[in-house]
Amino acid sequence: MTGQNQIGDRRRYAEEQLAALISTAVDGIMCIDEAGRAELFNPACERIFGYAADEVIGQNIRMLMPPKYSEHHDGYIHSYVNTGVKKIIGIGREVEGMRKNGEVFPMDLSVGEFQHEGQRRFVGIVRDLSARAASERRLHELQNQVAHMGRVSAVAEMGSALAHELNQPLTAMTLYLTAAERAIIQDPEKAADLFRRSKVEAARAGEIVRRIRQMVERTDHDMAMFNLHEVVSVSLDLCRIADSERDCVIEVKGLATTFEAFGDATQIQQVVVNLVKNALDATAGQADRRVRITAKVSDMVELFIEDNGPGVAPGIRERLFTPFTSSKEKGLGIGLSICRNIAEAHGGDLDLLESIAPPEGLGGARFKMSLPLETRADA
Amino acid sequence: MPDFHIVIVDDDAAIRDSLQIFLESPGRRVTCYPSGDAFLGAAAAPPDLLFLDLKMPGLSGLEVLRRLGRPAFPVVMISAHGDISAAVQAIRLGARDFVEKPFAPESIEETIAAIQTEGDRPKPGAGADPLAQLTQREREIALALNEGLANKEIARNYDISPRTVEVHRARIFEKTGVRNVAGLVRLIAGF
Repeated sequence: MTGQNQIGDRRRYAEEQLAALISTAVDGIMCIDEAGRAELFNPACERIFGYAADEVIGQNIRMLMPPKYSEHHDGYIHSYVNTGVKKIIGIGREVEGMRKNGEVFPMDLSVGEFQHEGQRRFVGIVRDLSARAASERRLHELQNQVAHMGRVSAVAEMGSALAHELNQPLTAMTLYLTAAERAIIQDPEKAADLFRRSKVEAARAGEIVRRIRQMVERTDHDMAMFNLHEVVSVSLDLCRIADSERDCVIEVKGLATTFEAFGDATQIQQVVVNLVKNALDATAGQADRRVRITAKVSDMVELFIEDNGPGVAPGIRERLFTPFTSSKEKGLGIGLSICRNIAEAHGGDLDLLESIAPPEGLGGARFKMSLPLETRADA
Repeated sequence: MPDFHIVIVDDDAAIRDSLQIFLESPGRRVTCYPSGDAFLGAAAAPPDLLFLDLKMPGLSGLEVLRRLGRPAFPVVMISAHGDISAAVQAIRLGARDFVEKPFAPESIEETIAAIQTEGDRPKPGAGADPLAQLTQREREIALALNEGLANKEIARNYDISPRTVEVHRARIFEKTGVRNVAGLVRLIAGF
């Protein structure tokens, strides 16, 4: 009888140990039968889902899922029992759960199985991911805010140049309209022509405002396929407008007009504007001003932005991407650090490369932005 | 009487076109050039009045003025709003006046009228202090305006409100008999 007692002792010990593990685990632990009815619902499950154990035990655990899963859950079990194809058992995946108050939340679910008296049972371990998801969302929002701040500061730095550019069509409109006002009685046809010309100028002013707004508007970080050539062209337009000297030769090489990349077009535009604006600032006052943008496609899209300015001074090189350090009088010094963040958030990178002397290169600063050809939407 | 010949040099096509249409009237002839190079290269007879844009690719307005070397004909600079220091520099280089974009059409006509009548205005005698009738504060502000400082900057420097600067400014113009900052700069420079 001693042997029997020993086995009984061990068994009790194991049961108590298991009971303690299940009740103290931070992760939710549950067990269901083949019909999907809950047999075990530990205290962590109660905390996660907001149900007391006796509200769930004996019920189908569909009640813990949002409709998009609960509608199919019985089918999932049925299909596994019939085919033996494992879709979640032993794999674990991120799914959504639903709390008693109806809130749907992300959770990590791993499922195991065992047999008891010829019946399958499934155990599930549940980890609530909503806190992590919230902090990721917050981080994401902060990144977008910083990127937006960078665009606003870039436009602010270009502010007086952009205002001047807006003043050109406004001035022309006023002159056309005054001349039209004078002509309208004597020469209505001339007046009509002058009205048409003022309309063209109004459209030109509108276009400038549209470009500026595009830069300062907030975006929801829309990751999508976009035309990289178009983004580069719009960026160049904006930089040309803001460049007071207007005599820089800007060339774009190796970028097909239909080339598509994946990412947030506004943010990529922001990076290109920053880099080209820096290049224009660096060459300001030179008799010969050149900026070249070269695209190369390998496993990544690489955009090289090079100028024929004096290059980046060695002392500035190391802290070039450090926020709030600027060699410019009015610069906030956040442009390049934000640009690098954007490139990295896209799964790419932004770097200062060694200058290449003419005739192969332009001899000044040379930056490379790389972007992945395709990024998973959830990256 | 021959036509009053006005030349416009501006890189912006719409500004050239609209200003030309606006200025053209019986008794006036208007010619346009898209750049300083084009104007200087044309080597045409001196106009009666030149409108010259300050900011242009290639030769800037100031550079064109320098090359003209204190022109005998009146030059009115077209400047961007707020770019007063460059405009003042242009006056020192011999420009007669400046208008800020976006300018009111009336101000262009006023400027032309002033230039057409100003020819007969007696010049201040050499050696006479043109600022003699100003108070100490007005004198300081007149010199600041002469340096090309904007009202706001002057207000900050003297820790007074921009409104007060405007009042002083108006008194200075009234006492010295000038129309604007350009006139003041020319007065102080003695030409």
